[in-house]
Amino acid sequence: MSFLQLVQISKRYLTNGSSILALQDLGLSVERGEFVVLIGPSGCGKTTLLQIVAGLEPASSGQVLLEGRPIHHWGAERTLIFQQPNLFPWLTAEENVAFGLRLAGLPASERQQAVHQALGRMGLAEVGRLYPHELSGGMQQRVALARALVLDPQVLLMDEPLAAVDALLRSRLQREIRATCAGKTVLFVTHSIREALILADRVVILSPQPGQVRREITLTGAAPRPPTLELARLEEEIEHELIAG
Amino acid sequence: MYKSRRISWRSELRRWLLPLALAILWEAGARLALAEPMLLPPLTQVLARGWHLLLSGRLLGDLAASAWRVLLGFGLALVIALPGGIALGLYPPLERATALLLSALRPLAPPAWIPLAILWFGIGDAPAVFIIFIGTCSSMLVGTLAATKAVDAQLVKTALTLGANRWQAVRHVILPSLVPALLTQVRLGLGLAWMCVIAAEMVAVRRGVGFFMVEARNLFRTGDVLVGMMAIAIVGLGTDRLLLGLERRLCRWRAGLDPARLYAPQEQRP
Repeated sequence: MSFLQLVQISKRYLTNGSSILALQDLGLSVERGEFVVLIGPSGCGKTTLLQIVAGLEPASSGQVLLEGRPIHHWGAERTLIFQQPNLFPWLTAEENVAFGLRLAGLPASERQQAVHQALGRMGLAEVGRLYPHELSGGMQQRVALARALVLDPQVLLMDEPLAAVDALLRSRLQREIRATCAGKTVLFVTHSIREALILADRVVILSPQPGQVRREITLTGAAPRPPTLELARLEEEIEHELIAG
Repeated sequence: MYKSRRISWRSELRRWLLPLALAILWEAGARLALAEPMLLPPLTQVLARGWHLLLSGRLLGDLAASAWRVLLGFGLALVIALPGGIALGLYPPLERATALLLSALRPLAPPAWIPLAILWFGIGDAPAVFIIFIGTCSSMLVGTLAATKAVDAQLVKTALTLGANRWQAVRHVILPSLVPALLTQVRLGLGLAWMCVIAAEMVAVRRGVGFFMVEARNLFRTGDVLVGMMAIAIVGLGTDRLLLGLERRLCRWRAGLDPARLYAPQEQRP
């Protein structure tokens, strides 16, 4: 049995009296320590799927199983990182990173050590005392990453965390994400085919409305991968496939 | 990124320019007898009278009586409106159940309650306190409700996915993000409370600044009426400044809009 299993997930929305089927009988198995990237055209329900796995939204039918047990609720063992950093503006960078640890009741001294370590790993040791509005967008997103990683979650869910950062920082953060998530089970959503091919152990392509698994590509070699010709061809192929619909 | 808090003497002067000009206009107009002295005594005369009333203790006594009523009525309204507004904002069925009542009560101006307040409570502190409570509670309730509904849902979701339960999300995300809005509600409410107390004291009470002004009018002491108005304005200004200072202290984390940068002409770069 796989570590994380999505079993026949369907999601139906009611808007203005009409109902939209966002996901239909979606099934996916993720092994422990696997880095899976979901791609698909916008509106294919990628974000919805992550919210369901995070427990922030109920599925209309189907189940999410973590180590064989169904999940019903949100929890810190399945942390979701959003497209926006969503830092708490009234807390400093340090206090933001400490947020989950404080809720977990970790003693102050251990907390401080863990926070410093997490910030240091993200290259943010110097900015711990600053408030979010004093940080650049890229720094904010790294604080958000540190805040999630410091909790050492069993599953990391990332919803286009790099969509709002510029190209230069993006490739650096891709490296950092793979490095800090080594050995972690990750479900990563992006709309960039290239990003998926650079980062993933396995790429899952979703079809649009209703979202279903259309194709899975298992990649070899250590990620993040350098952009080879082979990867470029694959990127083009997937792009054509998505455009053809 | 950082804005300077230092205010230069030039901008300080600019702040006082308009009030000073009005003061001079008032004084000169009254002295040159452009207005009937009975209707508008010169400013210096009013100030002298105010000083005299201050020293005699009469003004302070009335101010204290008004302030006490404000404290009671507004305090009571605060204790009910802030938690109540948050509860309504967090629990939609409660909001739906009270929506009709609240929108019907709110346009009812505080003076409209005065006759009822006198019938119920007679003359004294009680009707004034009641008027202040009624006049400020519903508007602060609605303001707090709106602020609560405007809390960033993404922040709440973020807290949940970092391990918070519902109560912790309220305690650690919703309450802190409400602080600036709540302080604004307190500032607006306190201003409203002073309007209410004066209105109430003009009919239903035997002491207080409002009563002092009505009495002055009956004796045709225009100067005293103006002294009363100034006293209210100064107290209002003082408390508002105090609350603004508190807001600055509590909300340092806010990026804030710097109008000087938005509207000022582009800086010249060397």
